[in-house]
Amino acid sequence: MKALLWIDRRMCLGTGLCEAMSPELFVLADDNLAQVIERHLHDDDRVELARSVAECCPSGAIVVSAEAHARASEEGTGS
Amino acid sequence: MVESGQPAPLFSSEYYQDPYPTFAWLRENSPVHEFRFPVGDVRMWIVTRYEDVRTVLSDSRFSSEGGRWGNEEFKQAGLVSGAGSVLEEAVTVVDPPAHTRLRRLAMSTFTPRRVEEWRGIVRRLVTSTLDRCAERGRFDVMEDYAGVVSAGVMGEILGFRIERHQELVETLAKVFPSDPALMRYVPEGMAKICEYAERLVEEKRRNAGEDLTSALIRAEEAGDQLSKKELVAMVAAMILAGSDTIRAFVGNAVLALLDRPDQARLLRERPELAGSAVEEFLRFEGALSTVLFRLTTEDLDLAGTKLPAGSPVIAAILSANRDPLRFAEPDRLDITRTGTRHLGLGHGLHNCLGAALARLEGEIAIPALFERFPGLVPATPREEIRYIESWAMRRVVRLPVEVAEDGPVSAAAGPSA
Repeated sequence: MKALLWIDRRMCLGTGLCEAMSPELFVLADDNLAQVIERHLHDDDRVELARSVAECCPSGAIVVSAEAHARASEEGTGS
Repeated sequence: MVESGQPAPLFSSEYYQDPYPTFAWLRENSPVHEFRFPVGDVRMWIVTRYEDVRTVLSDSRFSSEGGRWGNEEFKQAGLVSGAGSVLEEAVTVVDPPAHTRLRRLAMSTFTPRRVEEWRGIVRRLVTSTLDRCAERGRFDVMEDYAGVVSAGVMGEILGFRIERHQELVETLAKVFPSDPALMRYVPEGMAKICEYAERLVEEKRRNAGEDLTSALIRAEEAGDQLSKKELVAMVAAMILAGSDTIRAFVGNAVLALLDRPDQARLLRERPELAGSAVEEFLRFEGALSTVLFRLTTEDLDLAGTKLPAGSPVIAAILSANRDPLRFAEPDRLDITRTGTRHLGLGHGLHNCLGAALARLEGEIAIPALFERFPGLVPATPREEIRYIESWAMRRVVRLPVEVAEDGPVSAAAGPSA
């Protein structure tokens, strides 16, 4: 399964939960907000990992979306 | 800065009343500081700079699993959180993968709709509690306001029957005593909280409602659910982490505003500042001076200090939040402050699970007190306001106030200068 991973930076509070849970997918950038390292996820394990981090995020700022659905909403977030 | 002066020793009576000079000295002179913990005389380190505190809270080599990674000295001294109870495997003290599973199941119940319901609960309890305070005219912010609201909210959210609320308030007072002489009742209180949690889980299993306990029972992720033991631990952890902390936080914020009438006036005149004010209260003096112990999983180097595997480390979030390297004029309360995120609700894996509730209660309960009583003044000399002697929690013992008869002195005055 393929998915697209991104952060809604207007919602991110920089709590660092995502980076602590999965440093291979997330990092806190210089402005202390989260950034994704891997945008396109290609295998089920990665997608599942991203989903579990997204569900733990205290501000709901992490979005994991099936590739096709992602295109439209991705416009304008510019993460 | 503080080169010459000898600051109060860590965890001494003087330190508890004013830890800030000690923190300032440590940040400057010994940012990863070795000392002996008063309980069990255990060798450990306290970390006081913002940068280093963040490292400790985000680097997986600093574990929360005391029973697994702590050295013998630490374990022998009985410092493993929750040891011997259901809380041993609570979400607060386990690391991934167990942590991921528990946190994910818990977070799945914090839906936007449920959080909106909490807002209604908080508003209602704040209003009824303020009514009772108004009748009194003179009251203790800790016991008659913040304590009633925080325990009441937690009781209602979890689905306690209303007649048990007072019992919950009393048991919480036992678990988090203001008087060190009452420390011996802590285990008894702790056992009672676990017992309440167990009874509540059993009750909701038979008779589910719309409350959070019932939601946790129903919570499911890919066919996986919390076991009975995990449910009890989760509910007990929520009671323990989510009531007295809010009481402490609200109390500290109220005291900060009583000390600074200009900031109280600003908040009254511009209610839209409630959100940024809460962040500033969490930074300035949140409920915790330190988070729970972390244990090093291997030999490592932290900011130039070597820590052997199994070392207990205390991350002083209150000190990090006053670090002048991160915050301009850190000792000044400014409810319009923006910029660097504070660590008042922790950071990383174990950052506050109930952050949304903490913010919500703060945004409602703190401004409401000053809105209802614009002429609120302390009813005791400032030097008589004392802090409890707890290594982790920062909370005033009592905060007596009275409602001035004539309303606000500044009613006719313009905006503050």
